[in-house]
Amino acid sequence: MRSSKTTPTRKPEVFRFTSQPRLEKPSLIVGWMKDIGDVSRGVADFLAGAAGGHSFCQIEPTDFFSVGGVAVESNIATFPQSRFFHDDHRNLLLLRSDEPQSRRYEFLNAVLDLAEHYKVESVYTVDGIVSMIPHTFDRRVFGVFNGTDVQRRLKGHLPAGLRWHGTPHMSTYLLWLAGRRGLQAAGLWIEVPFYLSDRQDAQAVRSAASLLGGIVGWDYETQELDRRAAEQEEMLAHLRHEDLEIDARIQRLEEGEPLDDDEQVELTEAIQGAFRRHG
Amino acid sequence: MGFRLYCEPDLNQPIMICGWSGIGKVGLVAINTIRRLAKAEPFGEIEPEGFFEPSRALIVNGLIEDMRFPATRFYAFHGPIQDVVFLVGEQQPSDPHKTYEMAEMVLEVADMLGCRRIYTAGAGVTTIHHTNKPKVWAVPNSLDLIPEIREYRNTILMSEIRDWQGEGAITGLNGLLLGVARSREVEAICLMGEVPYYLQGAPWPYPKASISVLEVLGEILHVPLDLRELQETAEKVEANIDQVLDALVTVDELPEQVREEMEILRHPRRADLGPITEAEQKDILEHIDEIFKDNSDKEA
Repeated sequence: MRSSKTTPTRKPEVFRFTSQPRLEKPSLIVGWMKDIGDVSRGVADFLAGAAGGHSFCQIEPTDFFSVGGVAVESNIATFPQSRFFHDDHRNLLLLRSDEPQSRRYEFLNAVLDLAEHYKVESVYTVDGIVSMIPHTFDRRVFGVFNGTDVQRRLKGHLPAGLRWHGTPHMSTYLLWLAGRRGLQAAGLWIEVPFYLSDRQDAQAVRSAASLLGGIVGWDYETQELDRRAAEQEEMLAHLRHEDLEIDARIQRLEEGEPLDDDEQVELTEAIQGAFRRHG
Repeated sequence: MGFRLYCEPDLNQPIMICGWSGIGKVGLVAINTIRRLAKAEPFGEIEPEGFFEPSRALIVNGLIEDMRFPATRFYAFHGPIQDVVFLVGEQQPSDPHKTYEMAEMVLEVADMLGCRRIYTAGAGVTTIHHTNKPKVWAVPNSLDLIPEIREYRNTILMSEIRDWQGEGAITGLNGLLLGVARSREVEAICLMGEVPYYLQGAPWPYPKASISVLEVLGEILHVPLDLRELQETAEKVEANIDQVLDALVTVDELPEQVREEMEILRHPRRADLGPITEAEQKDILEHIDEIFKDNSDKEA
């Protein structure tokens, strides 16, 4: 068999380092800035905050994002960011990034190049997944693994595996590319009630952070996550009390009765509207 | 990014014939058909990672079991007068730099296998009516090939297309491969089956143009091709187009000028088709595309 390889041409300035941390076979957590229930972002923000909030490296945006202007979201001009953080205490690398708009293969390989440079032992991704559960139920977490070794290793933490046949998510693509390099990687997919999917589901963020901490053996002060989850529960309880239609539909979900498409849309709009009204 | 050969086929100075997905899937359908009829054997592929986004992931009980990408495969065929390498590409890279890299890679394989000539197949968009038999436009990368092309059946050079004066552009790999081959001093010819301009955005293939290309290739290779199956598909597509045009003229909001053009397309014998202005062509395309979009949305 004959084959030929050409190494993807990567410009040397793809990374911009401000320091070079010293870590011993760290884990790499990847969090994206937009996902269902803002779970990925919530976990990444939490971990970045716990790490001190200082990034040591960023991926230059020009190859992967449209840089002809800025997007404005919630009155604020935004700009794509892909920043790496390190937490020496917990031996952790964190990528907190917008999903690349183009050249995903090159972007993900750049991430894995950096992971190999730091001799990363395992890569983890965290994402939300839409579910029909009501917010009063525990969020289940489904695992995706790039090999049977990592699947066996994490079986105690992630007994349920995701099933999927379709266009791969960025995280799944990353896991698969990591597997091609012999790097163990797992994705955590946390359930988010459909009516909370367009905003941050604080309960799902807390569940994800807690499970991730358990997997890699970190201890975190989670009072802030607990407080936000409690606030969310309180707000939703208030909405149910205030709007009997919302209450009735959530109750049906609690009783395992499905809502039809129109009812789902109406419930989502009612909840979103109420959250907006209550700030 | 690279290529992988499962085995080294025993080929003697083969020619390479390439077809990629493009307008009307003319090249893809043509080359896929001929390699299937010839029972050509797959022997290698261009590794898709880096060229394409993954199209499908299969995750079973949490384990990523498969990641599918658009394939670009090589097939070998021992023809009656010459050996042939077919290349079938399910998709073209969207990034121009990657398109160039793929063209270089294809030529690298061609060079390794001792290919003496490259053919590419695709679509030529023109004002032909869908009930007419498409001609084949041929563009070589060397003047020396023109006398040979003049012998091909139902084939014209760019200079024979009205108002084109021998000039034009071939987008994507069908064209780029000619250029890269030229820089490597390898003969190459692009064969383009004519596709009506109002169908260039259609989501379905246009097999009628593929058939015209296949008739030329069959003669070049001295291989008889049974194209009845493809002919039947072409007839179904034609009936489908008629239905779409019939539906389109019933749309109330259709501007009168576009409606008149549509009537000409529906009843081609009533009047000569061309020439039409660019503005008219744009109007028709916009409305046709809307209809196709609506239909594909419904199918989805």
